[in-house]
Amino acid sequence: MTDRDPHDHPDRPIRIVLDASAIVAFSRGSIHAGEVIAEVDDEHAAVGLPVLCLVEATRGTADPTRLDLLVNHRAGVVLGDEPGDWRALAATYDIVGRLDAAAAALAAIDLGCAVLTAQPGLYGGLAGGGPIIAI
Amino acid sequence: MLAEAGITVTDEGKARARAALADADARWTPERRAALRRQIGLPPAAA
Repeated sequence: MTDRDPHDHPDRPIRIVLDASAIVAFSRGSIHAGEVIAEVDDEHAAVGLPVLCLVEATRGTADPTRLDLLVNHRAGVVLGDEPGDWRALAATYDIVGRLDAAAAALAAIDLGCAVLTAQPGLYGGLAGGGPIIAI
Repeated sequence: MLAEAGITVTDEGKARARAALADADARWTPERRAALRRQIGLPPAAA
């Protein structure tokens, strides 16, 4: 995963990863999520959107078209899981208890950034409480 | 895009976000990040 290629935004480093709760918050008009996305965009960086978090978020959003806005935004990068990282994903899943949250945490840890989340408690089992920014 | 989502962001809001990002950067030293990688079995990050 260290060679993760932010596919269609190679010129924008991923500054933060949104988990499902942050994606749902955005879809519900959260000013806190919006501020972070706007700031990251101003820095010409990107927000990582793990596939599993997007999938989970579809269950919690009232307006799926807002997920499309996020995915298609110039600062949005959809992140897949690397097949070779399955053991690390399993270990993270064991700690956080949800596969989508594990994908977000693994991506953030590997990319050296933080997870934006409305559910910080999910990550409490990670060393140091995990690299999170709570909204 | 944010306006389409019904979100109006101010300069003050972006400053708050910038501070939160900077705080996370400061708290997560290379040593703490290395401990996280070890915890989940990722190899050390490339220098």
